[in-house]
Amino acid sequence: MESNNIMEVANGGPNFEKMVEELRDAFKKGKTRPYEFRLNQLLNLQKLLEENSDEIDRALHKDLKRHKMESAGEILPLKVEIADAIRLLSSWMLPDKLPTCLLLPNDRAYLQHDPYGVVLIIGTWNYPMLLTLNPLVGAIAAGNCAVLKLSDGSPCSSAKLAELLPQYLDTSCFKVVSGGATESVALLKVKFDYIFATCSSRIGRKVMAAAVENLTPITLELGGKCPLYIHDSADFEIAAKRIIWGKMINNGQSCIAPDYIICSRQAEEEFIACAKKVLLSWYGKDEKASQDITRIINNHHFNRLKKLLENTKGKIVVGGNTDAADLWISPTIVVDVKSSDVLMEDEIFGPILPIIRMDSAEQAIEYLNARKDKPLSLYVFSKDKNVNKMFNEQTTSGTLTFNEVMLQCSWQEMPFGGVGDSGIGKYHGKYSYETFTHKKGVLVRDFSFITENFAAIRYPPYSSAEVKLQFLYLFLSNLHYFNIPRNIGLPHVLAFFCGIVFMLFMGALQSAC
Amino acid sequence: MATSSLLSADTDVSNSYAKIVDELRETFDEGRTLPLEFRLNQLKALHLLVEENFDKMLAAVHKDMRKAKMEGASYELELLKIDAVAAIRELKQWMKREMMPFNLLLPLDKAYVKHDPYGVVLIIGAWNYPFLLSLQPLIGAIAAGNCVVIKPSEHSSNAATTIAELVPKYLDPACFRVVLGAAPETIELLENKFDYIFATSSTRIGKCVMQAAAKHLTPVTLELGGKSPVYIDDDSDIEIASRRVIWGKCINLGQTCIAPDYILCSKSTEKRFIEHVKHTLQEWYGQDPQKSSDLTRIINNQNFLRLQKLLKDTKGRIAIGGETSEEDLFISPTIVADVKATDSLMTEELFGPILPILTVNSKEEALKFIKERPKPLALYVFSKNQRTLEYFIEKTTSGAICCNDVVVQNGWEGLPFGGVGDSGIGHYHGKYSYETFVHKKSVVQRSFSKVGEKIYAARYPPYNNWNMKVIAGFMKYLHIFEMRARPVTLFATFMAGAIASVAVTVGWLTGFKKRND
Repeated sequence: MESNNIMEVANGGPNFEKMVEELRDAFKKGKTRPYEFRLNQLLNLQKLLEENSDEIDRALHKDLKRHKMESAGEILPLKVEIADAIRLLSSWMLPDKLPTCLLLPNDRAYLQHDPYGVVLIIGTWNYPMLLTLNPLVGAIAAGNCAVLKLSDGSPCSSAKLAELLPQYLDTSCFKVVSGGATESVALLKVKFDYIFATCSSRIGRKVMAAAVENLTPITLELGGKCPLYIHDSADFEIAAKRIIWGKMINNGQSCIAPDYIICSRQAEEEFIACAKKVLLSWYGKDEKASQDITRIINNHHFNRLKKLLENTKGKIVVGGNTDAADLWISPTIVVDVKSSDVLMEDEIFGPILPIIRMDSAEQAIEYLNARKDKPLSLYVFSKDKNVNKMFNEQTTSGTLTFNEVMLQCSWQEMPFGGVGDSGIGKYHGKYSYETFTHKKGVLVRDFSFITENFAAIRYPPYSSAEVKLQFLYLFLSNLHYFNIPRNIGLPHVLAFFCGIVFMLFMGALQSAC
Repeated sequence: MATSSLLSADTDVSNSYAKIVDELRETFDEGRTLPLEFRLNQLKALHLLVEENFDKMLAAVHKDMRKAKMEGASYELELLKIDAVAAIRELKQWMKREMMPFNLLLPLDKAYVKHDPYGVVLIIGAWNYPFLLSLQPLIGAIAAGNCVVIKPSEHSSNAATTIAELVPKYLDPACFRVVLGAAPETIELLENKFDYIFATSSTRIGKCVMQAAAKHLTPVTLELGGKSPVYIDDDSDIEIASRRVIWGKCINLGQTCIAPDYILCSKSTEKRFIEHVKHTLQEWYGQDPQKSSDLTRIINNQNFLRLQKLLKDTKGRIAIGGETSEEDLFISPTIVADVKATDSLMTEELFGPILPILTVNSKEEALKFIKERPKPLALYVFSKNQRTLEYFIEKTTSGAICCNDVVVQNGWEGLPFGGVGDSGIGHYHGKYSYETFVHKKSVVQRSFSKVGEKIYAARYPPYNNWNMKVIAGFMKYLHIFEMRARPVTLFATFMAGAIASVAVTVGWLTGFKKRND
């Protein structure tokens, strides 16, 4: 029944052209451009989440056996994101004005924000709501029409979204497509004006290759192995809590989950002791019975992880139990892992945490920089300021977080996105809006006598070129001195009035004397 | 024998490219390009390069395409110098970390955006402005702290060899390398993994570049071309409009990516426009434009033949010019009237001194015509009516839009330059160049404070409803506790208030006392 439902929404391959054409028509009519329309759609999206929160939780639980609280970890940032967009949209939409120049008083220059047109958003299964709707918030705010490709990895959540979205959003501007690889391939053949995809690096390459045909700009949110370095100076009790928490949300199936740990032998011992304590106090003796641990999404991934555990040359010190019937893998820590180990090849995306031994921070940095992939997130736990500085300056990663995991992705106003193999482009908050906006340079001149005579210096015949060039260079290189600053804001006005009040006060004082 | 030596030469080339990239990556990993001083020094050296070799560079472009001194200087070298000077002036400001607002609920946490250079970047230049289009992106790449491979276009060979000769003399050769070569060499070069690719090229080559980039997931900026339309409304000052348009079309003999490509206007405007252009051309270039030293030549035979064929195939009426001379690679400034939308002149970017005029009867018709075609790199609108201008600004999308002038938006300080859709991806110039070549890394720094940990512990398992509500409330209202001002400045303001109140009280008391006395 459910698969039937999906097929209905998908409409099959050949119809995508027509669907996108419809959206393009709506866009060309300018339907999505007005502020009111965008605001309205965002409000509807907010309403969708509020009115259906139980149903959404249930769908997520069906897919991932995930606890309500972890689902809240997915829905809450989304709600905040929408609320921020609603609150700030009008200020985002203001054109960026350039300062007026005293020497060219008749000219006006600014950046107009144009929506791209029809954008494609490809979501994924590990956070089916967040990773599909979060980019959508940006696309709506920027005034685009959008096609959402929902993942077939999380069928229940995708079905729920496919059912709910058309009820709340304007169906002539926003369409939903469910399905798997075939639908994605068919979709990518159609011309879009922007493609936003959250996926693996392998699929990311395919998306980018498909975007070449129409020279479509892209944002790719990919994964990768996120390293975590623990320095000997860290507070291990707190560090272990935070790290295990980050690894265990969604049972390690997060693109920014700590993938492996680098630390010294001494740190390793302390960390494992603390981790064991933490796991026991959170999940009890029988971890499988705990309601708080999500399951692996499907058989394919379960088998992949099981194989990793079988093939690793490292020593399993915590966990390592599997149960295919329940898609269960217990929280596992593996030590004595070499950099050539199977666990170090691909993103793990499961509750397995290998530890590599490195004696110093320098060695760790050398190891990180020698790896080909720049990570999506890099985590450093240390109280030593010099170590922090070293990591900050000598490594590159999508995001860098000290003494914390995961939370950088929902930090207000911070961009989120990878670099190198971990992705292209940024989003979240204002960055989402800017991702889906083309900033068009606008220059408005007039036909006035002054402008034309000033401009006439450029015309042929190029006689006395030397003098003209001298003048041009002097003129252009000093132009910025004559800019009238744009931001004469409230503080300056207040300062001005303070000046007046101050002088009046001095005057009064003097007359009083 | 011959084939084997050819083969070995081929592998030599690819090996040497791989070696160059490896060497640059090594220098980058050492962190040599990171300090502000290094970047400033290199920018100053680049500025010096242009200043000291001004005439030599002008001679090179004159040899390549007979570019007039005034054009070579003001549209290439001066722009380079000005961009370099601006970068030197602003770099320290650009490099500053973007601090996030302080939050009262998270007093021990610090968050900011740090700008990391990408690493080793590739810049592919073009032949029409060989110095500007290779070296202006370089300014951004240096400012951002990258190592760079520069590949100038082989079609402007003299300029390319000049770049290859001068760059190692002025810039640090361990960080900046020039590679010469044609299409096969470029393909070899693109096999290597770069961290960013910046290419100025045609749409066709742009696709090849992006295809190669997709293999390594390399982000790209593509500066492509396209047909940039001009709409002239009936109410504009046709005399001034015609001068500006024809100037934009004739610089570099139309071989400018943002040159006006075709005109949309009414029949009556067309007539007046052609009258004025005739007059202007006579005034600027004399009776025989071929004799004028101010007109550039077509870059090579291939492009000349392409343009000649376009002129032969057009069904339009040649109103001005139309003379061609193959041995001189010259085509006189040409205006073709009565052109239909299906004409040969409308099939591709012209990139030459041919200006077709299409008749439209209203601004609505013009808008429809423009919107039916790929998004242009630049759109030009001439009108005295502010509402007409706004109409186009609001309803069209293009890389840039310039009202009542052409081409000048390119050198405008503060305006980004770049296309959208078929005309390109990404933008540059000034601060935007710097931003093109940096990765903005989010950095969050938390503490191990026990008090903080007590609060954050709400997120840990075992999960319960109360904690869930606490977190929901926390996240919902977090933004209210944001402080735009830094604590230090707030404290300063507070102290200023305190001192002021003391001053007022003392002042009032002394005044009061005096009056009492």
